[in-house]
Amino acid sequence: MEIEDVISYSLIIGVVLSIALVVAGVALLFVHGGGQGLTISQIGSVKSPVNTSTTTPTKVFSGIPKLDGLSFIYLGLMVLIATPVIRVALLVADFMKNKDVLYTVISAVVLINILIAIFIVPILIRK
Amino acid sequence: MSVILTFLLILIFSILAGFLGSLTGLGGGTVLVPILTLYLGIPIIYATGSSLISTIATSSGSASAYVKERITSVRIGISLEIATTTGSIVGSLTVAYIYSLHLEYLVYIVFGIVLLFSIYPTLKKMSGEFPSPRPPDWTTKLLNLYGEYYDPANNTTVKYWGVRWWLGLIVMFFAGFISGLLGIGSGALKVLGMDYAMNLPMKVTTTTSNFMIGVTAATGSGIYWALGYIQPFLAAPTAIGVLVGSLVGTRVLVRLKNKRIRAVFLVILGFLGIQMILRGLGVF
Repeated sequence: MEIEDVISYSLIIGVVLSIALVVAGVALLFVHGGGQGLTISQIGSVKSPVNTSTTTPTKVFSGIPKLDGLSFIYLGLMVLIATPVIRVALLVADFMKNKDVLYTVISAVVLINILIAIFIVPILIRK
Repeated sequence: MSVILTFLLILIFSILAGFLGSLTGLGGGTVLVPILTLYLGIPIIYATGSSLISTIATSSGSASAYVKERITSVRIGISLEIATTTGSIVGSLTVAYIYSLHLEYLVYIVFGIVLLFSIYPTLKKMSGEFPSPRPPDWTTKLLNLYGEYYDPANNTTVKYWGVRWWLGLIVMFFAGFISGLLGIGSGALKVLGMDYAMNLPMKVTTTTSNFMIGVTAATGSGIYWALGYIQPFLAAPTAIGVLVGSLVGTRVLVRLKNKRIRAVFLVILGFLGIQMILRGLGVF
């Protein structure tokens, strides 16, 4: 399989999986009338204080086996954000395999940029 | 307003935004943020957060098809993403600073201006001109910016090459900056960078821009996530809605040959742009 096909499949799998998780999360949220210990009216108002800064990956992953709606939505969003990141990682691997030094460096810089934005900058901001 | 009604309203408005965004080629977020803030009273922080998330969904969804058809230039895309991701980090941090100073009105005004400026390249794109060929330069050779794609309309394989990569890179930094600042894909600027600066054919430009948007938006959303700009209850219906709307829009676009109908959508964009500026100035 050529890299274009690999990327194409990874993108579509990522989107379908994340949307499925989000849809399931919304359904569970309405069925249970809330999630992560919050009522649906706390979560559902347009000016709700509930957002990505009020949760943690630990909370999200521990909520999944409990069929917690909010955790499913968060996980879906995480998968969605991870999709393009995986796409870049696949490119790095492909350029390395083809011994294309310049493009290995270029794609690695892009990957490092994204990882800085996702993991390093948040730590610096929260300090 | 009941929670279910709020959810359905956001879903419907998101479908509409995705539909309009794909018809104009600007992407869902550009239409979504004004609709959410002006008509649903959603704070601009949450509107831009949801918009950025929905941008990833539509980009990944449509890029999948274009990459498979080999229209997208993967190499040109990744080489320019150096600049879009850097720009996005700077843009996201800038908007965080703006919000910390409670200068939300600035975001409205900049959004309105960007919306109004997006109309011009979109109009231009409708005329469907081909770029006049330019000789390959040193960046073309160094970065191997050659490519080809099959054009079924003319039953030919179109060969092309990119020039002035450095100029493309500068434009892409600003595209990334605007994306991080406003929570949009800023496809119009990306197209501008590849079309005008790098002299690439329109089909390659639009599909490669689409391919790049997901990576730019993922970068920004990492920072948006940490700062708490993403509200799950708003992001869920917008991601679903914009994706559905843009898929429908893409189907309709193939049949929609009448340029006057598309011009009407641009008038809507102009209207939203002016409203955003007025909101920023405290008039509307």
